[in-house]
Amino acid sequence: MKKIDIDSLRVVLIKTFNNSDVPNSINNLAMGDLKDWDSLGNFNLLLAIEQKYQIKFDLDEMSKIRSIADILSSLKEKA
Amino acid sequence: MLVLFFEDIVPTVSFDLNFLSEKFSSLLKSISHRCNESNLPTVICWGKAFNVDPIRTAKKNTLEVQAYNWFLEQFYILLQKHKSLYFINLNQIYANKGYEKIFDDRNWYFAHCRVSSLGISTLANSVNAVLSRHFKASSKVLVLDCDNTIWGGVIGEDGIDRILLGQDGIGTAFVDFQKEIKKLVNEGVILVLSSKNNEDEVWNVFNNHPSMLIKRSDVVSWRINWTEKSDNIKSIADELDLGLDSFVFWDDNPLERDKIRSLLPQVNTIEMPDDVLKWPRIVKNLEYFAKFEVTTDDRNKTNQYHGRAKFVRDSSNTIDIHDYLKGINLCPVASNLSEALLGRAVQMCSKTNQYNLRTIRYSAEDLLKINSANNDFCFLINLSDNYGDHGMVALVCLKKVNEKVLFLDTLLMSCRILGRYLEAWIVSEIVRRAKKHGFEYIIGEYIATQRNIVAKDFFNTFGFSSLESSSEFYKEAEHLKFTKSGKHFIFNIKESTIPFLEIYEKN
Repeated sequence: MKKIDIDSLRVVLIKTFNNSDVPNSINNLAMGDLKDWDSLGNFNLLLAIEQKYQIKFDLDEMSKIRSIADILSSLKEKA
Repeated sequence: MLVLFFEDIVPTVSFDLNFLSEKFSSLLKSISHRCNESNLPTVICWGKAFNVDPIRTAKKNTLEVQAYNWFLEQFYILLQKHKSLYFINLNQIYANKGYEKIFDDRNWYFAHCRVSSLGISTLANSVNAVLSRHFKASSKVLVLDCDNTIWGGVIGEDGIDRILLGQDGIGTAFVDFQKEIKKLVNEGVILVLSSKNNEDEVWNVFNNHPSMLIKRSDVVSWRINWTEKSDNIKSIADELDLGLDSFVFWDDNPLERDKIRSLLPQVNTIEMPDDVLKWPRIVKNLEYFAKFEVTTDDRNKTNQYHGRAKFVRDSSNTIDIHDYLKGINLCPVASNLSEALLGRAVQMCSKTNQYNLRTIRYSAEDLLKINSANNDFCFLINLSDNYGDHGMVALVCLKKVNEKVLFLDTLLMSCRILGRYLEAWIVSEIVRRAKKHGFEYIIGEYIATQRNIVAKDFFNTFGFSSLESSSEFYKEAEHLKFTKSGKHFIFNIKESTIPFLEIYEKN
């Protein structure tokens, strides 16, 4: 697994949602806070994170992740 | 775009083959409907998410496979009916990467997405390839190096006996590489050589090496010398009258590739691995040359360009060009648009950049529409002469403005037959058709692009005079949406004459 830092995660967010309005601090963001971060957007985001950090979420993890905080804690468990 | 997986539309627990056509005729009809309604391309992607096992298919096809094949057949029937419909067989494109990497059950149960990230990007790349070719014609010219490219070793040092070609191992890879090149030539790719060698040594290999598959007659033009390849390629482009963006460059030497990339960025320079064993497969899959269909015209391309090169050489030695042209048995034949000619007509619309008065890119549907108004209004011209049969080399589309006036909507010509004043004959053919339907005037428009300067003087040279925007004719034709920057011309059938037509009048 590649090193995870909040800045690179922010880049994934910007690329996935093709959105330059992503705030500088993303720690408190959750699904619904960004345009296109709906359930399909969430799926796209998780696939992008898997590719970027070379990890794999299982079905259970995927179903529970709904925010940046969820993502960070899930990634921490995998580290 | 429609992505369909067999398992998602056919309930595989139990089903009856006989009900397929009943159940899915509406799906097929709606695809047909969409194709009839829109000129934009439609892409169907069809696949099967579950593989078949060897035991169940060892004696006969399972019901599932039979049903899957039924769909394949139906799609191929639709493909024949609709020119703008394309089909991607997902199982074939996925086979390269392997099913286990492509299908992702977690994605299916999480988001009803059958495939993995790799599956999505592979699908996207395939759709992109098909759509790019829909909008842009394939490359035309392949520039090849000789040493360590079509054979192993350096002819100037190793000699004809010791170059690697046709023996075991790597020598057979060079033969296979040549085999794939030969296939491209047969599909209409123009092969040229650019190689730093002594010319007679190269031709000695072509003429005398028993394993050479590429023949000297496959090579349309060559620059075998010690000059920079960028200069050589530019001069070949001038000679063939083709844009550098239709050139693909293959050279084993990374330095030469870098030079071409920086000096001639329009040329598509291929970056290949050092491992020659991988080359035959790479050539076979070169996207630059892939076409939807290979026409008869494509198959004759090498001959046509040989003929063209000879024509350029002969005519530059001739003092009176008119007498000379009269003596080469020019024989143009016009054919109205038909199903058999549609493919070539669309191809000409999409790739003729130079001799093209208005550069309107018509689809098959557009052309059929023009033809349905009057089937004398859309025709192609075949030209043959002492230099060979040049195939279908020009396309004309006409539109009615009113009872008296006809609009020359499209006139485009293949550059390989330029210099024969075929335009004069084409104008006479347009006039003949116009008279037949009672028209008295023909108006035309020239829209300048970066590439069509060669057609700039068509109207002035072949009997048309300028049409001012204040004239009645111009106003009548306004519904044709003239381009403001376009230049407009008129031909008076009763009064105007066609210069140079005598070249085509039989003695």
